[in-house]
Amino acid sequence: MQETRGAVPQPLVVQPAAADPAVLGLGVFVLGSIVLGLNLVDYVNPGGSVLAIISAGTGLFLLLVTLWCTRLGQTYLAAVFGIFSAFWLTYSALLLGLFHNWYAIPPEGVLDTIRAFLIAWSILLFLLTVSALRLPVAFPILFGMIDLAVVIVTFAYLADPPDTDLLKVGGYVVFAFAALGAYAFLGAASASLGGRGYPLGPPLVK
Amino acid sequence: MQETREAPVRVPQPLVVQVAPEGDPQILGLPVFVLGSMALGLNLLDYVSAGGSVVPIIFAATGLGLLVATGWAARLGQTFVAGVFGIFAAFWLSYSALLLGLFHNWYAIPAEDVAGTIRLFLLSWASLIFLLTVASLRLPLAYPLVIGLVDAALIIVFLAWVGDAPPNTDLLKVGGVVVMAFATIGAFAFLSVASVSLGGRGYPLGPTLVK
Repeated sequence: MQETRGAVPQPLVVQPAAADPAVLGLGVFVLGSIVLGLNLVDYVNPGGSVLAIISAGTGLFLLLVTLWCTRLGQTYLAAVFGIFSAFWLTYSALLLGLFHNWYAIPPEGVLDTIRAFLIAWSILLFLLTVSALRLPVAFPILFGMIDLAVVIVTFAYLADPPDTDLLKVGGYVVFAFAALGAYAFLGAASASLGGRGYPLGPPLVK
Repeated sequence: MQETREAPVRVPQPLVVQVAPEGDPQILGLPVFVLGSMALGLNLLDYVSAGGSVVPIIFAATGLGLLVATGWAARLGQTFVAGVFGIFAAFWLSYSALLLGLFHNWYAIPAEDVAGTIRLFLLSWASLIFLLTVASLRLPLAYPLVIGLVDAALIIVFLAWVGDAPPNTDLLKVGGVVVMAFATIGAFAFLSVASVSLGGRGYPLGPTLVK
């Protein structure tokens, strides 16, 4: 006869299935990309015109999605959303800081500050692209296009004043990755409502 | 004879099954959405013309309330509901940020670019809400209808802001009527969810367009 004396009965807790953070994360990412693309192609010229959406919409909500991923144990997804949340929030901080001289940068140092910001982000996004090669091909393409846009905008800011033609090229690349993000968003939304997810291609590295 | 007495096995046996708390986040999400929509609709209909008149409600009630509903839906595993509430929370919070930023010149936007900034905001949101409308076609008709009407209102208000400021007030009023229309459908959905939560019947929300 088995002895079970001393064992403490544990209640069995039935939890609901985990929700997928990608629907919200991709949605607000697409939103931020559209507003940035419209700004770069000079639909509206002042850089500050994007701030309401990229700070209170995209940056803040990608942070929320990052926490959601960490709760689900989705390591890589949390890192991706966290990095993009950091991108949009630091971009907001850069613009607000420059507008209100929070960082005490003299006028002749503003362009260099923007270049340093862009170069640092282009390096991290390159690393993110390389790290994503084990994902379906749509994701490294998406990250690679984001990196490409940042590199193009960096080259635009090497000129003084910035090269508006190159900024527009950067804007079109932003629209291209926004379209890819929109496709992934619709796929994730379809899957969440019982439909099929859309094909995202095979991984390049297995 | 060898003694083969086994070590006591202590296997905890489940005695009680606790189902994790559920609930329906729509009971919070829908009324705060309706509230924000009514405040916006009244503003567009020129009941009060100052844009800032809506900020307390759309920021502190609708934006934050939808943020709570998003977390609630995520906790329950309701991916799409969390996505919809999260996107609308982002809309109301970014709209609050736009208004506050323009009023206090946080974004250093010259006066001649204010109308363009508002158009940029509306066009970007209209694009995402269009995607959300398409994505919602697997839900009962009332939901894509509400989301589609939100998109229509954004496009109408965008058209009202095309050209030099001030905006076309007649078009803004048409936008206000559309806002009141989706607020009404949202109110109907809220009453349905409330009825179900209290043991009653849900109201008919129509068939799904895509199965």
